Amino acid sequence: MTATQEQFREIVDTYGSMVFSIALRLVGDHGLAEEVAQDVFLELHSWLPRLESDDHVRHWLRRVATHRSMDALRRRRVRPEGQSEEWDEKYDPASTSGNGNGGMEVAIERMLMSLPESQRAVLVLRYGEDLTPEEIAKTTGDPVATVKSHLQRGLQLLRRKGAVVLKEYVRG
Amino acid sequence: MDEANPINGAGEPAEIPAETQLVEVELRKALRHVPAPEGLTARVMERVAAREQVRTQRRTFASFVSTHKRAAWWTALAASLLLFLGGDMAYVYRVHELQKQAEAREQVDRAMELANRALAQVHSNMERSGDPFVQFALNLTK
Repeated sequence: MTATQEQFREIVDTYGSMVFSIALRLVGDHGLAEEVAQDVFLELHSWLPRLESDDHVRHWLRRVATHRSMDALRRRRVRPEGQSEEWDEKYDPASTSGNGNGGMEVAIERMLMSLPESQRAVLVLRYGEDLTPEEIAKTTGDPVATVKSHLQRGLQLLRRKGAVVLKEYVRG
Repeated sequence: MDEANPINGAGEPAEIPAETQLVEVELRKALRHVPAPEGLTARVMERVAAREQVRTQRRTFASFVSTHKRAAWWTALAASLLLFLGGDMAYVYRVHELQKQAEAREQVDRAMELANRALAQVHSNMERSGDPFVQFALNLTK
Protein backbone atom coordinates (compact mmCIF):
# COMPACT_ATOMS: atom_id res chain seq x y z
CA MET A 1 0.00 0.00 0.00
CA THR A 2 1.62 3.21 -1.10
CA ALA A 3 0.41 6.62 -0.01
CA THR A 4 1.19 10.20 -0.83
CA GLN A 5 1.84 12.67 1.96
CA GLU A 6 -1.79 13.76 1.74
CA GLN A 7 -3.07 10.19 1.99
CA PHE A 8 -0.76 9.52 4.91
CA ARG A 9 -2.10 12.64 6.62
CA GLU A 10 -5.62 11.24 6.18
CA ILE A 11 -4.54 7.94 7.74
CA VAL A 12 -3.12 9.80 10.76
CA ASP A 13 -6.34 11.81 11.02
CA THR A 14 -8.47 8.67 10.79
CA TYR A 15 -6.58 6.46 13.21
CA GLY A 16 -5.03 9.12 15.45
CA SER A 17 -7.81 8.79 17.99
CA MET A 18 -7.61 4.98 18.08
CA VAL A 19 -3.83 4.84 18.45
CA PHE A 20 -3.77 7.62 21.03
CA SER A 21 -6.60 5.98 23.01
CA ILE A 22 -4.84 2.61 23.15
CA ALA A 23 -1.59 4.28 24.21
CA LEU A 24 -3.31 6.50 26.78
CA ARG A 25 -5.19 3.58 28.40
CA LEU A 26 -2.03 1.51 28.55
CA VAL A 27 0.52 4.09 29.70
CA GLY A 28 -1.89 6.33 31.62
CA ASP A 29 0.06 9.45 30.80
CA HIS A 30 -1.10 11.98 28.22
CA GLY A 31 2.37 13.15 27.17
CA LEU A 32 3.82 9.68 26.95
CA ALA A 33 0.74 8.46 25.06
CA GLU A 34 1.19 11.16 22.44
CA GLU A 35 4.88 10.31 22.15
CA VAL A 36 3.96 6.66 21.59
CA ALA A 37 1.29 7.62 19.04
CA GLN A 38 3.76 9.76 17.09
CA ASP A 39 6.33 6.96 17.10
CA VAL A 40 3.72 4.47 15.91
CA PHE A 41 2.72 6.67 12.97
CA LEU A 42 6.33 7.36 12.13
CA GLU A 43 6.91 3.62 12.03
CA LEU A 44 3.77 3.22 9.94
CA HIS A 45 5.18 5.63 7.37
CA SER A 46 8.07 3.24 6.75
CA TRP A 47 5.87 0.15 6.84
CA LEU A 48 3.04 1.43 4.68
CA PRO A 49 4.33 -0.02 1.38
CA ARG A 50 4.21 -3.48 2.99
CA LEU A 51 0.61 -3.16 4.21
CA GLU A 52 -2.07 -4.33 1.82
CA SER A 53 -5.37 -2.79 2.87
CA ASP A 54 -7.11 -0.47 5.32
CA ASP A 55 -7.94 -3.45 7.55
CA HIS A 56 -4.30 -4.44 7.50
CA VAL A 57 -3.33 -0.89 8.45
CA ARG A 58 -5.84 -0.85 11.33
CA HIS A 59 -4.68 -4.23 12.65
CA TRP A 60 -1.03 -3.18 12.27
CA LEU A 61 -1.68 0.07 14.14
CA ARG A 62 -3.44 -1.70 17.02
CA ARG A 63 -0.66 -4.26 17.32
CA VAL A 64 2.19 -1.75 17.15
CA ALA A 65 0.42 0.75 19.42
CA THR A 66 -0.05 -2.00 22.03
CA HIS A 67 3.56 -3.16 21.81
CA ARG A 68 5.07 0.32 21.80
CA SER A 69 2.92 1.31 24.77
CA MET A 70 4.09 -1.75 26.70
CA ASP A 71 7.69 -0.93 25.71
CA ALA A 72 7.22 2.66 26.90
CA LEU A 73 5.73 1.43 30.14
CA ARG A 74 8.61 -0.94 30.72
CA ARG A 75 11.07 1.84 30.00
CA ARG A 76 9.40 4.26 32.32
CA ARG A 77 8.32 1.66 34.85
CA VAL A 78 5.22 3.73 35.47
CA ARG A 79 3.49 0.74 36.93
CA PRO A 80 5.63 -2.37 37.43
CA GLU A 81 4.00 -5.65 36.42
CA GLY A 82 2.28 -7.55 39.20
CA GLN A 83 2.48 -4.72 41.68
CA SER A 84 -1.26 -4.44 42.11
CA GLU A 85 -2.42 -8.04 41.85
CA GLU A 86 -3.81 -7.74 45.35
CA TRP A 87 -6.72 -5.69 46.50
CA ASP A 88 -5.59 -2.26 47.55
CA GLU A 89 -7.13 -1.77 51.00
CA LYS A 90 -6.42 1.93 50.88
CA TYR A 91 -8.54 2.36 47.77
CA ASP A 92 -11.04 5.08 48.52
CA PRO A 93 -14.22 4.84 46.45
CA ALA A 94 -15.47 8.15 47.77
CA SER A 95 -12.64 9.94 46.04
CA THR A 96 -13.51 8.44 42.66
CA SER A 97 -17.24 7.86 42.63
CA GLY A 98 -17.96 11.44 41.70
CA ASN A 99 -21.24 12.46 40.17
CA GLY A 100 -22.91 10.68 37.31
CA ASN A 101 -21.28 8.74 34.49
CA GLY A 102 -18.14 10.85 34.26
CA GLY A 103 -17.18 9.97 37.81
CA MET A 104 -17.83 6.29 37.22
CA GLU A 105 -15.71 6.32 34.06
CA VAL A 106 -12.88 8.00 35.90
CA ALA A 107 -13.16 5.40 38.65
CA ILE A 108 -13.12 2.57 36.12
CA GLU A 109 -10.11 4.11 34.37
CA ARG A 110 -8.26 4.41 37.67
CA MET A 111 -9.03 0.83 38.55
CA LEU A 112 -7.88 -0.22 35.09
CA MET A 113 -4.59 1.63 35.54
CA SER A 114 -4.03 -0.29 38.75
CA LEU A 115 -4.12 -3.63 36.91
CA PRO A 116 -0.97 -5.38 35.70
CA GLU A 117 0.10 -4.32 32.18
CA SER A 118 -0.76 -7.58 30.42
CA GLN A 119 -4.29 -7.70 31.87
CA ARG A 120 -4.81 -4.03 31.16
CA ALA A 121 -3.75 -4.47 27.53
CA VAL A 122 -6.15 -7.35 27.03
CA LEU A 123 -9.05 -5.45 28.63
CA VAL A 124 -8.33 -2.33 26.56
CA LEU A 125 -8.33 -4.36 23.35
CA ARG A 126 -11.44 -6.32 24.38
CA TYR A 127 -13.60 -3.45 25.56
CA GLY A 128 -11.97 -0.44 23.94
CA GLU A 129 -11.38 -1.96 20.52
CA ASP A 130 -14.11 -4.61 20.68
CA LEU A 131 -11.77 -7.41 19.63
CA THR A 132 -12.43 -11.10 20.25
CA PRO A 133 -9.90 -13.07 22.32
CA GLU A 134 -8.58 -14.61 19.08
CA GLU A 135 -8.06 -11.17 17.56
CA ILE A 136 -6.41 -9.98 20.78
CA ALA A 137 -4.09 -13.00 20.66
CA LYS A 138 -3.07 -12.02 17.12
CA THR A 139 -2.53 -8.45 18.23
CA THR A 140 -0.47 -9.14 21.33
CA GLY A 141 1.22 -12.26 20.02
CA ASP A 142 0.13 -14.27 23.08
CA PRO A 143 -1.66 -17.65 22.93
CA VAL A 144 -5.46 -17.44 23.00
CA ALA A 145 -5.52 -19.33 26.31
CA THR A 146 -3.24 -16.70 27.86
CA VAL A 147 -5.47 -13.93 26.57
CA LYS A 148 -8.56 -15.61 28.05
CA SER A 149 -6.76 -16.07 31.33
CA HIS A 150 -5.72 -12.41 31.40
CA LEU A 151 -9.29 -11.39 30.59
CA GLN A 152 -10.73 -13.55 33.33
CA ARG A 153 -8.21 -12.45 35.95
CA GLY A 154 -8.47 -8.81 34.89
CA LEU A 155 -12.24 -8.82 35.14
CA GLN A 156 -12.15 -10.61 38.50
CA LEU A 157 -9.70 -8.07 39.83
CA LEU A 158 -11.78 -5.20 38.49
CA ARG A 159 -14.92 -6.70 40.02
CA ARG A 160 -13.22 -7.02 43.38
CA LYS A 161 -11.80 -3.54 43.22
CA GLY A 162 -14.96 -2.04 41.86
CA ALA A 163 -17.55 -3.83 43.96
CA VAL A 164 -17.84 -1.04 46.45
CA VAL A 165 -17.72 1.70 43.84
CA LEU A 166 -20.29 0.02 41.64
CA LYS A 167 -22.64 -0.59 44.53
CA GLU A 168 -22.38 3.08 45.39
CA TYR A 169 -23.00 3.86 41.74
CA VAL A 170 -26.04 1.56 41.51
CA ARG A 171 -27.46 3.01 44.71
CA GLY A 172 -26.71 6.55 43.56
CA MET B 1 -21.45 -8.54 21.76
CA ASP B 2 -22.67 -7.33 25.13
CA GLU B 3 -24.56 -10.56 25.70
CA ALA B 4 -21.63 -12.77 24.80
CA ASN B 5 -19.33 -14.38 27.30
CA PRO B 6 -16.63 -11.80 27.88
CA ILE B 7 -13.92 -14.44 28.13
CA ASN B 8 -14.84 -16.67 25.22
CA GLY B 9 -15.94 -13.93 22.87
CA ALA B 10 -19.09 -14.15 20.83
CA GLY B 11 -19.18 -17.96 20.68
CA GLU B 12 -20.48 -19.04 24.05
CA PRO B 13 -23.47 -17.54 25.78
CA ALA B 14 -23.00 -17.48 29.52
CA GLU B 15 -24.64 -16.56 32.73
CA ILE B 16 -22.98 -13.32 33.60
CA PRO B 17 -23.49 -11.90 37.07
CA ALA B 18 -25.08 -8.48 37.15
CA GLU B 19 -21.96 -6.93 38.67
CA THR B 20 -19.78 -8.31 35.87
CA GLN B 21 -22.22 -7.01 33.28
CA LEU B 22 -22.10 -3.64 34.92
CA VAL B 23 -18.30 -3.71 34.97
CA GLU B 24 -18.32 -4.57 31.28
CA VAL B 25 -20.76 -1.84 30.40
CA GLU B 26 -18.77 0.68 32.36
CA LEU B 27 -15.53 -0.61 30.84
CA ARG B 28 -16.89 -0.07 27.36
CA LYS B 29 -17.96 3.44 28.28
CA ALA B 30 -14.67 4.26 29.98
CA LEU B 31 -12.60 2.85 27.13
CA ARG B 32 -14.32 4.77 24.35
CA HIS B 33 -11.85 6.40 22.01
CA VAL B 34 -10.71 9.80 23.13
CA PRO B 35 -9.91 12.45 20.53
CA ALA B 36 -6.29 12.65 19.49
CA PRO B 37 -4.42 15.63 20.94
CA GLU B 38 -4.73 18.87 19.02
CA GLY B 39 -2.08 19.06 16.33
CA LEU B 40 -1.03 15.40 16.52
CA THR B 41 -1.27 15.00 12.74
CA ALA B 42 0.80 18.13 12.13
CA ARG B 43 3.49 16.99 14.55
CA VAL B 44 3.60 13.54 12.97
CA MET B 45 3.88 15.07 9.51
CA GLU B 46 6.69 17.34 10.71
CA ARG B 47 8.62 14.38 12.07
CA VAL B 48 8.01 12.42 8.86
CA ALA B 49 9.27 15.37 6.80
CA ALA B 50 12.36 15.79 9.00
CA ARG B 51 13.16 12.10 8.73
CA GLU B 52 12.63 12.13 4.99
CA GLN B 53 15.04 15.06 4.71
CA VAL B 54 17.73 13.16 6.61
CA ARG B 55 17.09 10.10 4.45
CA THR B 56 17.34 12.19 1.28
CA GLN B 57 20.65 13.65 2.44
CA ARG B 58 21.95 10.17 3.22
CA ARG B 59 20.71 8.91 -0.13
CA THR B 60 22.40 11.83 -1.94
CA PHE B 61 25.71 11.13 -0.25
CA ALA B 62 25.38 7.40 -0.90
CA SER B 63 24.50 8.02 -4.53
CA PHE B 64 27.46 10.42 -4.91
CA VAL B 65 29.78 7.78 -3.50
CA SER B 66 28.31 5.04 -5.67
CA THR B 67 28.35 7.23 -8.82
CA HIS B 68 31.95 8.26 -8.28
CA LYS B 69 33.07 4.92 -7.00
CA ARG B 70 35.00 4.12 -10.18
CA ALA B 71 36.67 7.54 -10.20
CA ALA B 72 37.54 7.16 -6.54
CA TRP B 73 39.10 3.77 -7.19
CA TRP B 74 41.18 5.16 -10.07
CA THR B 75 42.28 8.11 -7.99
CA ALA B 76 43.30 5.86 -5.15
CA LEU B 77 45.17 3.59 -7.56
CA ALA B 78 46.97 6.53 -9.19
CA ALA B 79 47.91 7.93 -5.79
CA SER B 80 49.26 4.55 -4.71
CA LEU B 81 51.25 4.20 -7.92
CA LEU B 82 52.59 7.71 -7.54
CA LEU B 83 53.68 7.02 -3.99
CA PHE B 84 55.23 3.73 -4.97
CA LEU B 85 57.05 5.12 -8.01
CA GLY B 86 58.06 8.27 -6.16
CA GLY B 87 59.56 6.20 -3.38
CA ASP B 88 61.26 3.92 -5.86
CA MET B 89 62.72 6.84 -7.82
CA ALA B 90 64.05 8.44 -4.66
CA TYR B 91 65.71 5.15 -3.76
CA VAL B 92 67.24 4.76 -7.22
CA TYR B 93 68.48 8.36 -7.13
CA ARG B 94 70.08 7.82 -3.73
CA VAL B 95 71.82 4.62 -4.86
CA HIS B 96 73.06 6.40 -7.99
CA GLU B 97 74.46 9.23 -5.90
CA LEU B 98 76.28 6.79 -3.61
CA GLN B 99 77.73 4.98 -6.63
CA LYS B 100 78.97 8.28 -8.09
CA GLN B 101 80.60 9.17 -4.79
CA ALA B 102 82.30 5.78 -4.60
CA GLU B 103 83.59 6.10 -8.18
CA ALA B 104 84.97 9.58 -7.52
CA ARG B 105 86.71 8.34 -4.38
CA GLU B 106 88.20 5.46 -6.35
CA GLN B 107 89.47 7.81 -9.09
CA VAL B 108 91.11 10.09 -6.53
CA ASP B 109 92.75 7.07 -4.88
CA ARG B 110 94.04 5.86 -8.26
CA ALA B 111 95.38 9.33 -9.17
CA MET B 112 97.16 9.53 -5.83
CA GLU B 113 98.64 6.11 -6.35
CA LEU B 114 99.89 7.04 -9.84
CA ALA B 115 101.38 10.29 -8.61
CA ASN B 116 103.05 8.45 -5.76
CA ARG B 117 104.46 5.89 -8.15
CA ALA B 118 105.82 8.64 -10.48
CA LEU B 119 107.45 10.46 -7.59
CA ALA B 120 109.08 7.23 -6.36
CA GLN B 121 110.45 6.65 -9.88
CA VAL B 122 111.87 10.17 -10.05
CA HIS B 123 113.40 9.72 -6.62
CA SER B 124 115.04 6.43 -7.61
CA ASN B 125 116.40 7.91 -10.87
CA MET B 126 117.89 10.83 -8.98
CA GLU B 127 119.59 8.49 -6.51
CA ARG B 128 121.06 6.44 -9.31
CA SER B 129 122.30 9.44 -11.36
CA GLY B 130 125.49 9.97 -9.19
CA ASP B 131 125.41 13.73 -9.77
CA PRO B 132 127.01 15.40 -6.65
CA PHE B 133 124.63 18.34 -6.87
CA VAL B 134 121.62 16.03 -6.94
CA GLN B 135 123.09 13.96 -4.08
CA PHE B 136 123.48 17.15 -2.08
CA ALA B 137 119.87 18.10 -2.77
CA LEU B 138 118.66 14.64 -1.77
CA ASN B 139 120.57 14.83 1.48
CA LEU B 140 118.87 18.09 2.26
CA THR B 141 115.39 16.50 1.93
CA LYS B 142 116.16 13.59 4.32
